[in-house]
Amino acid sequence: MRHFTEDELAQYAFDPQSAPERVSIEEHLGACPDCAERLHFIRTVDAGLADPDAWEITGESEDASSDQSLFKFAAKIAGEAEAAERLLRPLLKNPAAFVWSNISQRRTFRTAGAVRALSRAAMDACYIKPLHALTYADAAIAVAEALRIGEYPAHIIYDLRGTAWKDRANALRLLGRFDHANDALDRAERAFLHVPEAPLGPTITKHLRAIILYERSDFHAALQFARECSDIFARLGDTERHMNRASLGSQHPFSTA
Amino acid sequence: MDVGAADGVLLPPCMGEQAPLSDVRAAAIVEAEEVYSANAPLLRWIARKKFRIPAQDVEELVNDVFTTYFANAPNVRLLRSYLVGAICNASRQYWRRQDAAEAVPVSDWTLRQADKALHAEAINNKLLIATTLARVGRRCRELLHQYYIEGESTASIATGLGTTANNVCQQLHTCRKTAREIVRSLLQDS
Repeated sequence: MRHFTEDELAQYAFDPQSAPERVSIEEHLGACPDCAERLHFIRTVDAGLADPDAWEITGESEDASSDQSLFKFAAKIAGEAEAAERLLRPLLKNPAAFVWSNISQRRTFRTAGAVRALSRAAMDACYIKPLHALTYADAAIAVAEALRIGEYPAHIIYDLRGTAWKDRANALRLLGRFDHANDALDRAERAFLHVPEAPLGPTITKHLRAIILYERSDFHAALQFARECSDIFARLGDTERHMNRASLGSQHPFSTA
Repeated sequence: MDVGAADGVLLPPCMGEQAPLSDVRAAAIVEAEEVYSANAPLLRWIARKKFRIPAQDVEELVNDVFTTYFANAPNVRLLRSYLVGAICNASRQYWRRQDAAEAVPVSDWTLRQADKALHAEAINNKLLIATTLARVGRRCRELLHQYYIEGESTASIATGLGTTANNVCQQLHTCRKTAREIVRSLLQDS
């Protein structure tokens, strides 16, 4: 069986009537999945070339001028993250030293990078030592609340605050203090309202609401929240969290999910 | 733990040292530029075409999305889906604010339709072809545009170029072939 070249298949895709071996190609395609797949690829690219949306997106890149301050901001964030990691590492190894160091009062730590590092520390500690996680989250809140608009764009500060309050809520719910956790989630939600372009924060907050409702055996409400989160996580490509929410739904005794 | 006692609090020994951060910052700039150039056209297009954000406000919206992403990058699992979700949220919020100011140029129905049109697979295909078109070369881009978007026949294009329809067909085949090669290389890279 002779396979057809890509040029022959491309000519057939472009104009079947003009292809010299049209009949042979059509007979061959019925018996050869490889050539059929190659023809499908050719046709998919051709269809893409005829998609006006793709041309418009190309046009957007042609008349765009990138904002250098954006890249300087990325560099600032990366530098702060590295510095915060370096400064906090020894303190996080020794929780007593961490408490004594009172970092929220220290100018060196008053950066977005420090808030992120503390939030990450809270996340890392929450399942093993939720009390430590609570300490780190509270430090993150204190630093985030001390940041002033002008040092960072307002929406970045609100995002940091929302994330820190969310981390406090997570630690509190693992300590079984559900009412306090819900209060912290209220604060997180209020902060995230100022950051419409950050879709993860509000969804994770909602996810925590679902878990707290589940822990309190309010299964119907928990399922409702879990489904909403699951859909958003799936759309954002966050498969891990999507599956977690799906499994929370499947534990519901009346679940049809 | 080896700590100092400067200004009355426990301090790690590294505090106050000036570690070289320039490499980290330089790498961050390169990475940010890559992410921006690969995705900003798509985000502008979504804001402008799907959500009808006025041209003068699009750039600010897109920049807000990128600053938030740069601050959140380690938590993002799938970059493009995150950015698309972010610009959709930001665009919806933009119109909610306008709505509060009693200007409602875009209906809820339109916003829902925009959301439906932005499924990840469709977006990825559009961006793949858009990137291909940006790399295919000006001559090919013009020829492909005439044929696929303006709907001109090969004979009509040939008349405009002062050549034969066969020649135009041959050029189109070459340009399509180049486009496929670029698509393949982009798919391999991703």
